[in-house]
Amino acid sequence: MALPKRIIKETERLMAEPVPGISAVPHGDNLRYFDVTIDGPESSPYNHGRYKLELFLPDDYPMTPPKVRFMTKIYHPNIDKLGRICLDVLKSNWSPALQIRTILLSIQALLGAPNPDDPLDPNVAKKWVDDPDDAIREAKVWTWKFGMDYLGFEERKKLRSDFPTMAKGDENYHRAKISDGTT
Amino acid sequence: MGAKVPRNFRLLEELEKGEKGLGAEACSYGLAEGDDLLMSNWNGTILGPPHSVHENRIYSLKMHCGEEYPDKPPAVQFISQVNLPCVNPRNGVVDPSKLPCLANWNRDMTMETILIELRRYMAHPSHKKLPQPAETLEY
Repeated sequence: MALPKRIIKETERLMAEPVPGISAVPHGDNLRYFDVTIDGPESSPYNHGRYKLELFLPDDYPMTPPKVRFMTKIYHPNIDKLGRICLDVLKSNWSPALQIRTILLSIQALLGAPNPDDPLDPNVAKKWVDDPDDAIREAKVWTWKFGMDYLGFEERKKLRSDFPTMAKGDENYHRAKISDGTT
Repeated sequence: MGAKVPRNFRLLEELEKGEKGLGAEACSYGLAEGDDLLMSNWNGTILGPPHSVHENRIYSLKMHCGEEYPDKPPAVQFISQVNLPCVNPRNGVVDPSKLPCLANWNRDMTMETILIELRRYMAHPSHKKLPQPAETLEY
């Protein structure tokens, strides 16, 4: 089946005018399937993280939304353990006027503005409401652990002091929390 | 021919179908570990078909979807002991050459296809009276 013009156009534009902090590259053997990266927004606990996602345009795209999933572990109330994303524009608020580009920007915005009132992971969402400081701390620990593989050793080392050392449940967690000044 | 659904989105579809219980009533399946981003290891159960020695038994099995799934079928292995010609009696591994859906696999088939076919295989006239190991035994 020939690739629809709409998809070719979108792909060409993604290549020619990439969105800052976002990349989307189609697979050579399946032009409806994209490898995506999204950088965590600066003012979020995901700052310095670069997240891998995968995106697929189903047969009836753009009448139905793209399918998108995180492949990097992330601590976020609207993203579950399998990387599935709860976002209105990926579901009921999808419109064919939206594009791959706008969807990826919406996901990046979701990283900057978690929405615990419409959660996908109820445990993470509860933490976000009950103890937001601790939730943000946990999110940073995950960013450090899973989201920074793209950096070299030296670059990572320079950023070490920006990140708390321990996750909840780790030994000495409470002591670390005090020395971070997060209590 | 339509768009080729990549492995991970295909597995997410199967997971949702399995979770919602939209599939066949006598079979169920789900991820072995709920946080496995690679979604490789799955558990399945088959309720033994009626009017056979398998009636009222519940068989558990595991399925492993490799990187080439669904272009290649998953590896299937019984956890519960069972006596069937397509199942290795020592370790419960299903011999793909002896189960038609695995032998003639195509990417439109799913893990549910396999479970349903195994259940039909149990009910086959030449298999439905085979003596079976005690119900609680596992490999």
